Amino acid sequence: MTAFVDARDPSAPRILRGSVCIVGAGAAGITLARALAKTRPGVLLIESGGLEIDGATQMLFAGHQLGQRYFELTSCRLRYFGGTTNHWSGFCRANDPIDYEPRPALGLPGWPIGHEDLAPYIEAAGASLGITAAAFDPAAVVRGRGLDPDQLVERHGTHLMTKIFELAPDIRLGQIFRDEIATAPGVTPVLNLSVTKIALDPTGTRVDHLEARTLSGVAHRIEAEDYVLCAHAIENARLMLASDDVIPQGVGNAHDLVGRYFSDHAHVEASRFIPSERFPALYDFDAARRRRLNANLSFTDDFLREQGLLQYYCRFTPVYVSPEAEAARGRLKADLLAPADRQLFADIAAVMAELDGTRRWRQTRRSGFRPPPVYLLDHRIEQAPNRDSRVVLSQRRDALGSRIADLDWRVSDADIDTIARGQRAIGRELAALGYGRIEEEEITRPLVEARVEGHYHHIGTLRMADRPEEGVVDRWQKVHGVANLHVGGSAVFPSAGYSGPTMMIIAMSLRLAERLGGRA
Amino acid sequence: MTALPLPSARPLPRLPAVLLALVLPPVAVWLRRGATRTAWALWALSLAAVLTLRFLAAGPGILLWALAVLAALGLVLRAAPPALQLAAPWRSVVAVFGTAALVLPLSVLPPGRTPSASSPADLALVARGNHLAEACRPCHALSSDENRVGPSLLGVIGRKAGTMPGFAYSEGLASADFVWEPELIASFATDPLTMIPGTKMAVSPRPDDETAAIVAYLLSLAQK
Repeated sequence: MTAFVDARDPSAPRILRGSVCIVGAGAAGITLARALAKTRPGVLLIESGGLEIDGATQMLFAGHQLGQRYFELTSCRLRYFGGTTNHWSGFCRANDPIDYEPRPALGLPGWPIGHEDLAPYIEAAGASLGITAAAFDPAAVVRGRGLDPDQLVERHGTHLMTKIFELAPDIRLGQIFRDEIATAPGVTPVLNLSVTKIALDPTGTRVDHLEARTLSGVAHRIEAEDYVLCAHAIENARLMLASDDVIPQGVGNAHDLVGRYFSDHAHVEASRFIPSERFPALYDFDAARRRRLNANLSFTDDFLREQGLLQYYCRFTPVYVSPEAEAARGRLKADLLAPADRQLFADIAAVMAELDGTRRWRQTRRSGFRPPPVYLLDHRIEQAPNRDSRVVLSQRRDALGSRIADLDWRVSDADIDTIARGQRAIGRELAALGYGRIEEEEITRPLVEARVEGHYHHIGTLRMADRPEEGVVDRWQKVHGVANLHVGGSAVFPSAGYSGPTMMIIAMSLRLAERLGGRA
Repeated sequence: MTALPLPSARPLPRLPAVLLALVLPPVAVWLRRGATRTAWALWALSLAAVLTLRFLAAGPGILLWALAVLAALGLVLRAAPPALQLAAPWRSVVAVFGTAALVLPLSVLPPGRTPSASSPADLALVARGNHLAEACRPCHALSSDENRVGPSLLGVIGRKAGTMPGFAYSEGLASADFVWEPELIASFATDPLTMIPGTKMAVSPRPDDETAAIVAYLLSLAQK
């Protein structure tokens, strides 16, 4: 029986030795440690933070934004036990078959592994999160949530398709597996210890050891047979770039790929949709959410191929009463009693103008769904892999003396094109079904740059490919050219695909665990 | 740091105006008993004028004001008992001026109060803060009192530091003895570790004007 080792503790060993050293205890690292504990005891699970969030540790993430504004880098990922699952929302979905295909016109390199390779691991990953396989059959899910499966657009002969995200119940992996990790005989979990360098042997083809430090300034050395970086997409790349004493470009970076092709599932709110009475409740974001359902309108794989579109889906956010009219109604009583001003008349007019929406909302609440007067559209895409969207090692240093990773996030023309043509196609298909009409805003680069946000899905930077010229890790997530260094997490995804990445990360960690445990 | 928008504190002297509206009509009846019609008409006009001024300055609300004027008009026009009726020419005068008293102020009404009385610049600042607060949302609830990785920020300005129920604060904040004023929130949101060593909070460096926008947004939430 082991327990958590606090590296700041003076009695903690300064040299840690084990079979496999896992850097980072998030979705990837915890999954790997749990699995390897049984097959390859002596696992070291090294976590930079403690069991709770800590400001000074989070500050090791404090990079600058060099390109398109991304999320705040100190809060969009978490550096303590459980990692970023500590603020994960829990949306799960596997990649679609098309996501593994190469589509050169869009810059999609294809995955060296396919749907069949991952399917059993995805099922196991889903199960570990409390999701059953049936959760990904739209008809079964829709029926289970009290809606008529005949609402599914794919039953009406269009290019549209329903894609469902399942909300996992068991998502705080740090809390769920804390005791298991603390008591597993095969794992030594170490807290408050940040790896600062991958020390290669003189040939540059093997990791000799890792250097690590505590924020209190104590240096440690970690020795293992195999090393797996599960520290987050940006941080994994940072560690490899910053370890540049043996190979000047950094570990695994012979082809200048480390840190590149960073992407997320980008989304942009634009355009409105005026529904007819036939618009199905299934695709109304709020109506579906009240049934714990997240169903999105997307395209069939054939349509994506034929049109040369990236993965795209559209969320329909109902607006029964505009926030302005809502606020006006709230002010009416005060308007009548307060010193008089023109606000009263403006507010009465605002409320009167949206009486129809108010009535529809009441009917929806009382006697079943009626579409709102208008939907706001939220367009969501996978980003085309872009070499210039990347992690950049700065010359600034963090509290441990390590160079800080900045982020240069980019939105490409292909991304903008998919949003523009995706919204047009959605509008056309829904109009043909008699579901309403779209009022399009023109999708331009300035509009996208002003509104685009991500999904906290940090993807790419160490992508997987069979050839070292095309990717940093091979199909087994081993770094090309380094015998005993592997990478876990969404850093290795060659493309974002349609998935919610966490379940995919867990699935790929289960697969990697079989490899490192000698079973695959 | 740029100046932060503070809630406009316009007092509403509602009660005196309401009393005025309630008390004056009976006084009018009493006056009428001993007064000439000319005096009565003058009183009616001055009542309208007083109410108009009152209304423009810090009126009792358009509802009460309109009722008071209509009551005064009705008193001297059709609705009043025969003993209070005015002769035809005076009736016209009261009708014209009374209607004017009702209508004229509407054309010179101030445009609105808080929040719409805030300048467009303040509103733009709040809107920008709402957008920038994306940086806070992964860890903090802003529109509910739910604690996440960090404590809820709903109503944080004006709250005593380290007192959001149910959140396990760092030692520094748990033992803090101050109230979150806009300036304090701004400096914490700029460099939390310098202000409270050992805090759980972290932020990337951010320009002061962005912090000011976020604080303006937090403040606007506190006012709702």
